[in-house]
Amino acid sequence: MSFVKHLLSRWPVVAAALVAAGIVHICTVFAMPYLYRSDAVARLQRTLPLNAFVILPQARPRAQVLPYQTPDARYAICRYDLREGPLVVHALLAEPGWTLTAYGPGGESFYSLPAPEQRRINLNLLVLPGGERFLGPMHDARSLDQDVSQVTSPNRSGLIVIQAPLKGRTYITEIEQALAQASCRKLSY
Amino acid sequence: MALSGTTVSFGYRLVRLRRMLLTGLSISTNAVLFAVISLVLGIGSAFWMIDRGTALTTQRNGPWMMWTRAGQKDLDPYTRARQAKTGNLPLSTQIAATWETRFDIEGRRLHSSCEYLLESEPIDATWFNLAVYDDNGLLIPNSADRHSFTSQTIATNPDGSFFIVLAREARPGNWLPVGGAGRLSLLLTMIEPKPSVTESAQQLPSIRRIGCR
Repeated sequence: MSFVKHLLSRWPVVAAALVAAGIVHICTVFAMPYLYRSDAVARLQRTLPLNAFVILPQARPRAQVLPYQTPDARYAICRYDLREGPLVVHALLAEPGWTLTAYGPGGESFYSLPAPEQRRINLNLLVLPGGERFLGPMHDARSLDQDVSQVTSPNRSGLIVIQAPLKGRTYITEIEQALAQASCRKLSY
Repeated sequence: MALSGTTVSFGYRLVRLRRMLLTGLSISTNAVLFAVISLVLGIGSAFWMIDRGTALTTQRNGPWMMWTRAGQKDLDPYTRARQAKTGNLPLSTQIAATWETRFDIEGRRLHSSCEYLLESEPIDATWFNLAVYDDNGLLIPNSADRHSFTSQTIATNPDGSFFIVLAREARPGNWLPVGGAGRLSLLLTMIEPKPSVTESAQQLPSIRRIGCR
């Protein structure tokens, strides 16, 4: 009680501190992504090759690439960089539950596609640099394949992730073969 | 008796020094109070909102919680901070509902020294996965090499409902081993839940503590 009285007697300081606490709160929240440099994208970007899909090993105790990684799924991940031009992604989403997601450097996804329930998808995706960074011959590039979907990346780097659920251990080879068909390469003119 | 000029000057200096000390003490007390309140409240509330979530950033159902903008294109600052802190790569909530919990239905912390029964109505989703982790999101080593159940691997009742037992020792039915992990966390991922991601809370399992050692 005396502590509260003490605080009340210094109310201008307490009021100023509450305003400062609000500013500290906002700064802390905004600083968090920079303080935790071990976020998923940063960690994977340090280890994965550029513009190529890598099939991650199945998550096991003491052998997880990411925290909260689904143990009953396999992942193929492509680290991309759009500084030298657009990226062409080919992926087979073989069964219901398969997903393809394109992430920016902060873990925000700008493209997500789940496989539909009744059929498999052979996806051709053209990932374009955002803004005015890319001024290449897009018309020619587009004419290479009429069935290609396009998406603009808000950032020049990020990850393309294919998640494939495991139906059981006997299906691992089949799933790995389907994931191995995925490709991710810089568009050549 | 008249005081000499030197004595008066000395006394005046003492009074002045005392006043300065008191002023300094008051200022430093105020400075400490200001720093403590602003830093503890500011940093503490930020971490609390990032760890626990609020109505602004999460949807809740019983003990389950979902970050409503996780993995989306326009992340709010709290969700972005949360993703950076946990270090995971969540599926976008546009295609999947990812529910997490660290508590049972009575609000008690999930712990490996206890046994829990999860009972669920049929989950209507293209695919779902229910996995158990330790407090840091790491898989728990166990001799059965079992860490989760999916819509394809879980044994269900004829109507699609199911139960899962979290326990140290083997249990009949759907058993997830949790031995020696300490605090537990559960993650339920539903890809394309029906009718929608936000309404997926209707299908969440209940988590009841059976007993503790």
